[in-house]
Amino acid sequence: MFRLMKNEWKKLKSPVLGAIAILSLVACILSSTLYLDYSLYYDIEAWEIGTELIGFLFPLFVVIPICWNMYYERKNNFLLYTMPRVSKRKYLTAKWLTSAISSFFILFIPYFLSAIFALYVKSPIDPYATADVSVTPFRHIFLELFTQTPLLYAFLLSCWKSLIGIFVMSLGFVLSLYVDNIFVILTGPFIYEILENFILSILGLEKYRLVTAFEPTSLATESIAIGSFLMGLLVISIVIVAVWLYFGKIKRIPVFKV
Amino acid sequence: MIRRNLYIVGKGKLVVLFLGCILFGISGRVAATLSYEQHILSVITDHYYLIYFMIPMYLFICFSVMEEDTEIVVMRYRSYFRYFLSKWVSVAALAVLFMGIQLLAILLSGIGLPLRNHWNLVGGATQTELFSILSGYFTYPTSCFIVTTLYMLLGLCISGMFCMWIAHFLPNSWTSKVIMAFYIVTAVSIKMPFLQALPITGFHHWIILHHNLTGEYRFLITAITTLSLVIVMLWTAKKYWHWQLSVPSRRRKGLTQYYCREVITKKNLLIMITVTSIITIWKYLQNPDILVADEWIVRLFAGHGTGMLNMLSFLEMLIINGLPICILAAFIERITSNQSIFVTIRLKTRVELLKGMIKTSLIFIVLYGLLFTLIPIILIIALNLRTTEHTIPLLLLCVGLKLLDIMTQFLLMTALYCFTKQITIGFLALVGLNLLCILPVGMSGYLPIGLSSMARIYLPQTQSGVSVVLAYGILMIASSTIFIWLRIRGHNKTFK
Repeated sequence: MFRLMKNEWKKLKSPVLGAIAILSLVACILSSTLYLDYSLYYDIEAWEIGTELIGFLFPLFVVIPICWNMYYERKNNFLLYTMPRVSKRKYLTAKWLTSAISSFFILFIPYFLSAIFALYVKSPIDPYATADVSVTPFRHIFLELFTQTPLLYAFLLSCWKSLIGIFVMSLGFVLSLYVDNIFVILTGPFIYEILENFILSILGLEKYRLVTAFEPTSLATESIAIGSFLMGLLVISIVIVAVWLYFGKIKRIPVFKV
Repeated sequence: MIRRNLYIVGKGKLVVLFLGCILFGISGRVAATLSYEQHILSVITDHYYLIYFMIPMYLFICFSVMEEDTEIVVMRYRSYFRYFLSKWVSVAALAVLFMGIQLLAILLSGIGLPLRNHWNLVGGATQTELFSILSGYFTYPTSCFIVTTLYMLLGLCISGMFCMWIAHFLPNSWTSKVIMAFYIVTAVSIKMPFLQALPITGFHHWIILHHNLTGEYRFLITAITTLSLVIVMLWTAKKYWHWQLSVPSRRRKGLTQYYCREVITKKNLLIMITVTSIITIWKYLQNPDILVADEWIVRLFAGHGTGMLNMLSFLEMLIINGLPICILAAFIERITSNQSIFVTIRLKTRVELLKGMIKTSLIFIVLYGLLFTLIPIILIIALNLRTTEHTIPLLLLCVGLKLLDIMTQFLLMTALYCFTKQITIGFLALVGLNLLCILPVGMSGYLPIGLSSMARIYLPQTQSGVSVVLAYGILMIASSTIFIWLRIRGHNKTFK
């Protein structure tokens, strides 16, 4: 298994490392520049502002560097030659595990690195408005963690976001097993995110969006519940299973074409 | 012939007619306080019942007997004209039966009402307006009822003949289309005053007497058109029965046609209709207290302004603008990656491939624009929003801008595709360019991508933004520049 995963890593190495490098660069620059237009209390808030846009585009970052691989392996019949050497299930599991780890780090490294940048590298924020804090109490999710141990907060949130990234990547992965159109594979999860976000917003269920789970600060603190963190994941899991059932069981499209 | 046609029609449809008619009659009876004579008259002049239930039922019956018999059957009548006449007699017999059943149902539905043969209504009845017209022509409701019934019978006979005539002289596939079109004119005309003003005769003029009493010349028009039509029908059936109007089949050649079949599918149209309907309805539900259509249209096309990022309206803009682009991107990826070798062989030049692709996509985008014009209009009519003289020009202006915007985005995506051979990169670039609206207003205000947003256009209400003419200019220049580049250099970059 480990060897198989190493094999897979070789294929994905350059795009994944490239994505990590570019994304880290962008996130660090944004976190240490964008905050200048805002009046803030804490250094870690600069991180939130800087990574806001990434939160909107993250399905693209986790899918595009990874999911192309399966599409081309199916297209140029590479899969056919793996069949005599390794069982289908084992091959796909190794591939998914590698992809999952890659997608985890694609989000985790830029997020955590930019948090470190926001906390330690950029010039510290001068909380000139601290006097107002007593008047309008500062509200934030996980307030104590956020104010007392920002690094731990950033670490945990980065882990959580990367975990969601794995789910989104899995949607792209399942699509890449069955669909013959690379455009659909690469942008499918992104379009799913847009539609889910839009539909839940117009229904007034903003707190259950996947984006809310990804970016808990995008809504007022009061409206966030434990369901906000899990509902989006539940829905995307259902969608993944539905896609798999539709293509694999109903339309019976073979992954390994002989 | 009569017996055979009766057999073909069967009992089911007639039973449905009877039940429907009784239902209408009873519902009319429950609602109002009328005498027996007034009641039967009001049922037979109820044009909603007549147009939306009786005429379709009758046409349905006609459709089942309309088909021409085999030559052997026709030969037994010695001439086609005799066959035509006897068939018409059988249709007329059906019409008599039809009317008989309807009459029975109407008479039955009114049993138990007091007998009063006069025009005076108990105040506030819905029939007041109609009865005041009718009472100008007839002394008693009963006489009016009899005349209306006879007129309807005559009208049904003529309609039957008309259907037969159409069925004989037009190819099979066109018969139902022509008759349906004719029926739709009838069905919508009672809601559209300008259609009523036109001197055309529909089924409703033949069948419903009081529709002929609206204007001074209306009855004359109906009489003349009907008479001339009957003469033409009989004459052509006698002299030119062997002719058949052949409709030239549409040219279905070329790559564009081939691609159109790929992309203009029922599934894609359904997706577009669903999304546009959801967005238009949602836009209304957001501000249900809007009464003026103009304001609602501006809101519908508001899109997203510049210099800030409001997630919901940004997503809305992305969905409205991106929907056709997404479908087209998937289409381009599909046709270019799995292109059949036969297509490649039959191409004369490489240019054709790109030309077909762009032409098809532009047709598709225009179709999307049409949808975005029609659905708001339907909603405005359905919700009874107040329209002004600016409503339609405003809607067309907004849709025009939207179309230009989508075309610019699509052409840009295609151009990027020509360079990189990856449609996904083109699409990502579009998402990125759309996101540029967060730049300060001065920089992003003139950005062609997303310029169709009304929030960026100068309006009297907002007093800021780009003027409409300038917006049109920017989009025109941007799209034509990319288009010309694609036409001149693009094909060199596309396709190996």
